[in-house]
Amino acid sequence: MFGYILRRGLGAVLILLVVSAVTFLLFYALPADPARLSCGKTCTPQSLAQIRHSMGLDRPLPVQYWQFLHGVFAGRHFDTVWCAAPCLGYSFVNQQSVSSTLADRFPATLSLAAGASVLILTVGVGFGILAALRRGRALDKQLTAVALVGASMQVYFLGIVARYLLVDQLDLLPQPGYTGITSDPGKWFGGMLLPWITLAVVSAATYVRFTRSAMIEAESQEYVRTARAQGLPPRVVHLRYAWRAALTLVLTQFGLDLGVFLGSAVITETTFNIHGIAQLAVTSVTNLDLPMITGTVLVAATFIVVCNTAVDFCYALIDPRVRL
Amino acid sequence: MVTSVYDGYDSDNSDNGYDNTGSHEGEEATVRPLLAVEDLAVRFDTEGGTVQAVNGLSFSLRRGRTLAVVGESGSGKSATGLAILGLHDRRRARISGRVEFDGVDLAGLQERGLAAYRGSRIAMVFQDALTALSPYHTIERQLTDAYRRRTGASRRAARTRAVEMLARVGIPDPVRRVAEYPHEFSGGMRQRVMIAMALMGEPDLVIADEPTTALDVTVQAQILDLLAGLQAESDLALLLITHDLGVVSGVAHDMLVMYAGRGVEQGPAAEVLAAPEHPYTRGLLRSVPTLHGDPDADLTPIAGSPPDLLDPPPGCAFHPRCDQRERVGGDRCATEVPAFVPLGDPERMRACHLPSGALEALEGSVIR
Ligand SMILES: Nc1ncnc2c1ncn2[C@@H]1O[C@H](COP(=O)(O)OP(=O)(O)OP(=O)(O)O)[C@@H](O)[C@H]1O
Ligand code: SF4
Ligand SMILES: [Mg+2]
Repeated sequence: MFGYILRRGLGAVLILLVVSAVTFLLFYALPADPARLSCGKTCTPQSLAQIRHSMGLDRPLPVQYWQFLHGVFAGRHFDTVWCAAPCLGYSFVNQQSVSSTLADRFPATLSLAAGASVLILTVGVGFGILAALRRGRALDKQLTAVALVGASMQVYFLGIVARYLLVDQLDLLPQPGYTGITSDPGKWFGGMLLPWITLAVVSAATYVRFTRSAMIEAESQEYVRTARAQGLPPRVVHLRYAWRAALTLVLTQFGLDLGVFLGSAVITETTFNIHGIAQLAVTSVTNLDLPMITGTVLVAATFIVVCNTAVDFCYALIDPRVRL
Repeated sequence: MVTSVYDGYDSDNSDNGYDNTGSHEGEEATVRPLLAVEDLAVRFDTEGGTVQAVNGLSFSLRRGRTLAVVGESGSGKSATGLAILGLHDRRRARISGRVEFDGVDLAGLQERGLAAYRGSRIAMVFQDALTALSPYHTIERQLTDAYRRRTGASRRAARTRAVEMLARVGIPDPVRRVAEYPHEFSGGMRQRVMIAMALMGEPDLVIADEPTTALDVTVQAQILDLLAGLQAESDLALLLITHDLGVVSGVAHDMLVMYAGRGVEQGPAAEVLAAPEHPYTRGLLRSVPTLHGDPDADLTPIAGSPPDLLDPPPGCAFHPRCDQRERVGGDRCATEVPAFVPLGDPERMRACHLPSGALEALEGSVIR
């Protein structure tokens, strides 16, 4: 177990190193001159050289990368300023520390993802199991139909309509938006409610269908028949024996979807006016704010790597044949 | 020699007569079989049409006896075993006929009613214990789940019983092993676990569907010995599904040969093996090596392949492969379904147009 965690941890670090190197190369080795970008409109050759030197751009690329890494793990000097680890540099646009900006923005994205996941998994998986158990009957057909409608919705469409109806007109839900969970938990929850529900409606639908078919497939396992042959009641047969096999499939799907979720976070955050990592990434790209872009890419990659490691870990918990 | 007799339960068939010289105590039990299957049919509705997996099958089985059901792959053996306990997917399979167990027609029961029989009075042992046991649950959980629900036993008591059953089927160090998962057992040990699972509820009838097919030869023999021992010890009725005639001669009292979903020959195992009365049975015997026979003797597999059950041949389903049909007049074999009827001795049943005794006894055909 401990060895497994160590191996996975090292693997994750390695993946992140590769990701960082690639991002670093892409943005620093491309023709766009970071110093030029940072220099502003009235840029004299002297100040350009000055900036180039202070950014370390006059050094060879490997040295620059080394300094970058050094900054991440142990901090570094930018000219006379000490940038403490994890140092990802300073924004070209507003000279803010990249890491503190990320620390500022990430919780919003994380709140979105975590809350929506909980809803999607409980609602989607719950109804999926229900549909599978009532296969072919009225409830199954209704659930499948609702799931189909939900799955054909888009976050931006549903989000805007729901916001207009439920928030602006009927005043059933508070305005969406992000408040730090530590500063005001009630407000945090209220502000996230609409985004969570919208995301859940759109994605839970997929999980209803997916869980349903995973369950139906699991039902054909021979050991499910063995459980029936032992005289166990249907509830136990389905929820204890069949469900275990379906769970593995659902978990695999969820692991994949976490990445997709991050990809679609831009739309979600824009729709609900939540200043998360994805919005930050978009503005950084628009502004060619290279340190900020590198920072958001690394955070996103870390998020996915951590999630996938967690999913693998869950596999081992579910399936005793998976050795850690 | 006492055997189960087709249709023997019906009182109007009592003129078939029963031999009471068997070891079984009590006349009542000999008159009334534990299990009487009558005119069982299992049909699967598939996209290609209706598969007639079992087609009017009848047999009976008494306590303390082992009935082997043999036949090639696809002859409907498993479909029969599953139908007895109502384990077919009700959405896909249509079952008709009677499955009378201890006076109750199981074929008429719903899931809830069947649950009272499953595991407690009738237990199943499946072919491949690796897939038939859940990979996600410990042996303890799988052995005790149904038992606890049924008896209300405490976890401790149930575990103690599971350990006892594992010990009974010859699993070393059962106290430790009960906490393990199926994949931590060898194939033979896993099959023993399946048998232990079947014993948890002290069943009257055990249906074992090819319990040794997935195992290598030495282990096969051990498992068969175990089953035969338990059968004798607990006065079980054992329905042993197999396509291995060696298994039959080793442990079965009676045998029923199936072809294309029907019974074609039935009788005391030793008699059928020594003097088969049906060309198909004889063909099966000729296609397996014998222990005291000539090891170099040519094995002749039955020509052709089992029929397509979506579109079975008319008349005798075996006729396209039968080497005896010329001996039957006209094309009766291809047009008229032979009735499954007693051959003088009510214990010996057969479905063939040939006159009885037409097939010469096969020399050294008994395996082992
Ligand atoms: N669920 C099902 N749906 C459709 N057809 C089925 C189903 N189960 C069995 N069959 C068909 O019914 C026939 C009898 O199958 P069965 O499993 O009883 O054969 P068997 O005698 O047990 O053969 P084997 O020795 O291969 O186990 C076969 O033709 C099989 O293809
Ligand atoms: S009825 Fe005819 S075809 Fe069928 S087994 Fe007998 S001889 Fe062969
Ligand atoms: Mg079978």
